[in-house]
Amino acid sequence: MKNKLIQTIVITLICILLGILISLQLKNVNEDNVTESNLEEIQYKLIDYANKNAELNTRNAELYQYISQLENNFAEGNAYIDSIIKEKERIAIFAGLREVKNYGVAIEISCSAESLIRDSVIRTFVNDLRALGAQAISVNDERLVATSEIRATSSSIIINGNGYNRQDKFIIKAITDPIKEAYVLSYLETLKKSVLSDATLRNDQYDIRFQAVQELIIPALSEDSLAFKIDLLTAAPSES
Amino acid sequence: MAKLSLRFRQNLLLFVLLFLFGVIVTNHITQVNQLQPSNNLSKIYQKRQEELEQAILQYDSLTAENKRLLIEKETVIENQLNQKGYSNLLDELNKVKTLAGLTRVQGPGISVILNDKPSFDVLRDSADALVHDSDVRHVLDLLRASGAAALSVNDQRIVNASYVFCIGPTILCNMQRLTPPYIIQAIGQPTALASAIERDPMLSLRQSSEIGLIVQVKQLELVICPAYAEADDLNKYIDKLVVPVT
Repeated sequence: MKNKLIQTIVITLICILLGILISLQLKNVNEDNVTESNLEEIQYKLIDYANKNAELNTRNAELYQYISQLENNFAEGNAYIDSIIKEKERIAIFAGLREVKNYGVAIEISCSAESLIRDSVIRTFVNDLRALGAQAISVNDERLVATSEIRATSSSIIINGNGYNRQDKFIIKAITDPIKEAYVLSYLETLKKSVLSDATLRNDQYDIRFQAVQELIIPALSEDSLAFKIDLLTAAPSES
Repeated sequence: MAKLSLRFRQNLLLFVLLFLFGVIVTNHITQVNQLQPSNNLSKIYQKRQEELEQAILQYDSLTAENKRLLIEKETVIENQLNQKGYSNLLDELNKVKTLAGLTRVQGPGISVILNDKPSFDVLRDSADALVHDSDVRHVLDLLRASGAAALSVNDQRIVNASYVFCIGPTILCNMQRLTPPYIIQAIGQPTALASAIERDPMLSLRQSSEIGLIVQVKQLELVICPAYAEADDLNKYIDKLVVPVT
């Protein structure tokens, strides 16, 4: 009787220990799912947010300072008008409403006399120039803004509502960072090769040339340009 | 005999249990030794996750503060210009801001939803069943060509400095990582905008049952495009632009 009791107790104890060990084992297996690549990914995200937060902190501090400066200037006299006019000018430059100049790249695109230049080729260069950080871009001296279309019809490419003959040479100009010259030029070379090797474009015999220019001028876009279509927009109530 | 058999069975059970116990203990010890670096990895991961949650909370709070300050700045400027009788300058400023995409605007338009094929299988489905950055750019180009007056992607206003590019499985727009579904909003003539998307051969092909990309177009009476979120940080986008002196 006593032996039986001891045996039962021993078996119970062993079963409990087995249960604990199995659960520990399962926990280990689950923890093993974290890989170095997961860790790397979360670290990238963390760095990304840390940078964004640092930038937002600086921007908010500058905004506090600007608002207080506006209020002080207003209390003292007319100096505040100057800062508002300067701000308006900065926004106008950003909007593409001012002619601008500086270092940049110029790209010339033409094709054989029997072919027509495709809008997709122009758009490819424009999109990639934007990604390369170009601050102002024009195609055939049409300043590009966020709503500028580059659309082909049978004989023309329409940009900002104006048509350009598809058999003529197209010139894209972009103001870029001179510090990135080597990178920008090598990127454009790769892009050029990719366009020239595209099987659907091979018969068009594209000729694409580009060069860095110490000072190029990019014209402004008029407020009345078809690209803006401001009449379709009304101010929306602010979020609350 | 029966008693012997019972004892034998008990011994056998005990033997099996002890054997299992031994195997598991050995296995556990071996695994614990092997997993030592991995355990560290998981602890670091957990710590980073907590830090990330904190950073996201901080980002949300700083973004809300930034929005509040921008509104406060606008109000201060508006009040000052109105009080001093510079309403013309205020009108010009508001117009320029609207043209630059720095104001929240509304109007009739459309919404286009681009999404990956539901239950996409990497082994069975074509890569065309996933939304790529080039698809988002293609839709934006179609909308521009059909007269869009304002555009946004997942609440990121498209301005002169915007570009859409992929980073791994996500899309970068205005320095923000976006994930599917991509909701592209455009203000303009709803029928013209919708027709441009619905009649596009490339998007039609991608929506076929063989590929399965999701493209949903809705014509709307009212579309709201948010203001560009970095309205107070334009310098980095114009610092290379010199205005010629006339």
